[in-house]
Amino acid sequence: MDTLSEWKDYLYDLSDESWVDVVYDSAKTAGTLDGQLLALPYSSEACGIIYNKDLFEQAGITEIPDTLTELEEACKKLEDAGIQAFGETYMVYGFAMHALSAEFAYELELNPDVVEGLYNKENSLNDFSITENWYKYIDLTLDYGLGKNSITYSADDQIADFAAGKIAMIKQGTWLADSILKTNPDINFGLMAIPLTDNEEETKLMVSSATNVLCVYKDSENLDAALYFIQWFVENAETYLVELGDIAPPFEGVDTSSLSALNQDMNQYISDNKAFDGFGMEDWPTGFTEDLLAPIQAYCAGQADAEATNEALTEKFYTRLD
Amino acid sequence: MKDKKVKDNIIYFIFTGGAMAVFLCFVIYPMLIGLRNSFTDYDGISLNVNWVGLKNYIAVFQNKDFLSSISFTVRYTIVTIILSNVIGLALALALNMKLKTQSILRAAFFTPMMIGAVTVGFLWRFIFTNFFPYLGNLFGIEMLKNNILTNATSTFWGICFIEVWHGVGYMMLIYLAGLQSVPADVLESAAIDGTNSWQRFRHITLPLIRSSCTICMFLTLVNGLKVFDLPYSLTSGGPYGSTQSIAYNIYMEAFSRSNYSLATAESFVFCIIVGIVALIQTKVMNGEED
Repeated sequence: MDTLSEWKDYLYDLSDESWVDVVYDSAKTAGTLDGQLLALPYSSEACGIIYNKDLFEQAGITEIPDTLTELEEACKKLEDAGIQAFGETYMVYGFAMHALSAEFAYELELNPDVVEGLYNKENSLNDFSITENWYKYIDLTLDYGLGKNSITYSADDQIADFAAGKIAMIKQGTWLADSILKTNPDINFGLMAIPLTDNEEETKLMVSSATNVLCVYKDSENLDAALYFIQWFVENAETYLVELGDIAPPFEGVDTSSLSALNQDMNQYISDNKAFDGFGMEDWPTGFTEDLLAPIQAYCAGQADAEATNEALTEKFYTRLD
Repeated sequence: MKDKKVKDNIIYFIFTGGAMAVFLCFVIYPMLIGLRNSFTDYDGISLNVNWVGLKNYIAVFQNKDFLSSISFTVRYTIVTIILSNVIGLALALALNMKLKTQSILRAAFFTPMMIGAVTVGFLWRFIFTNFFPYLGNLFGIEMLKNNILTNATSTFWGICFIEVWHGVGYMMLIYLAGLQSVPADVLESAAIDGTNSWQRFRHITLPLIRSSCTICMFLTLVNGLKVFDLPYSLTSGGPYGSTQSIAYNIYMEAFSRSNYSLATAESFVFCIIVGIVALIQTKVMNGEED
């Protein structure tokens, strides 16, 4: 985690604390740097496509699309039923970043050498085997959605429109559950993985256990109190994280059945072993997350084709690697 | 004599001391720290800070995003200076003609100025994104059907238009005050001598409102170069990074990308550019005032 290395001079090593065994291994890896557990991740979040179950039923979609072809068919059925299939927001970098990280998540699983080549400045994004399918997916979200107006569509509008039942699918994640439920507590929604291939075995949900972490300042005057707080925090995760915060903590033995449908679906993908460990963007150089917005917006507006966009993204990636 | 001078100096110091202290503490001191930071590789958090000399300043001029933000800011400033001053002066001339509805019109033109810049941005973003296409579809007006903010050129002119709409009331008031100080008898005697209104305007009015021109040009120039609120709230620097002003670019560089030292170097370069331009502009216009 790049941010972790920025802060490492300040952080206390938590590897010997009493609660360390309760935390999932994947979460611990995310918070570890050079063998020291410097951060306690306390939320598991998944990034995928939130879909409205009622609208799917209206359009006659009975099975969740597992492949890219099935996703396209689902979009066509929604369009025939007069429902807007997608409603992407590419106004600020956050959600374009998630979209691009899906490409990395898939490529890391299928061809990790190609991704490593990108980090070594030997390859470009055009060498990614999955890139053609990724652009097909983006085209689906644009053609069956807002087209180039996605560039000016804000996240607040997206939440409002989805909660009101105007959009069938939005590429978002478990973090939106709270906001959507506050707007419309009766919404019937679920979370599905973004399919980027036609092989349903390869379709997995992006899950990260390192999105929110707790760290302890190592020179703190109140070190004992801080450590005791973390111990209490882990022990009472069910009350404070699950019930009050609607967050899924990566701790063993916590009952997460009261969480929203999105978190339940995430847990299902995890237990079915159909989850990527991480979003794919964990090793990106600092600054790339903002830089990627401009080329992706240019593609959405039809100003650049897929190849040119990949070249622009690669160039920005290389610049940030320095 | 000397005692009086010392006493005077002490009095001056007491009166300006408070403001000077605040200025030194909150402007000069951070500037000096920033200057020192620009020669290091400080990223805002790390304790590991190295001296890197002029590397950041060289990187500033190689940074394509920074250079394109200079291009945008310069074009934007030129357009808003011309439009704000011409329209402001025209409105002032119109309102100077002692119309019956003068006070109402004055208030009406000044009202946009009272809305905060960020609110203006959000307001117009809603109008451009939702309202105009709605009107376009309702009345079949082709130009309005497309979202203005998805196209770089139309967004540029849109953002210039909004800034002029926002600030023209202020220019109008300054020009109005200047116009009202032009003595009416001079204009009358010129009219009797047989000059037409354009000649009166060009040779009498315009020279006499020189100081108002200086002020307005200076304000529009500096406001144009420093612009941040509008790109931030209206377009978020888009579409595809084409409306990133210099200040917006520096802000993103420092706080979103944690590239603190590069951002401070950029802001010093920016500060010098603005300072030089403002100095040239004031000297030229002050020279002409005499």
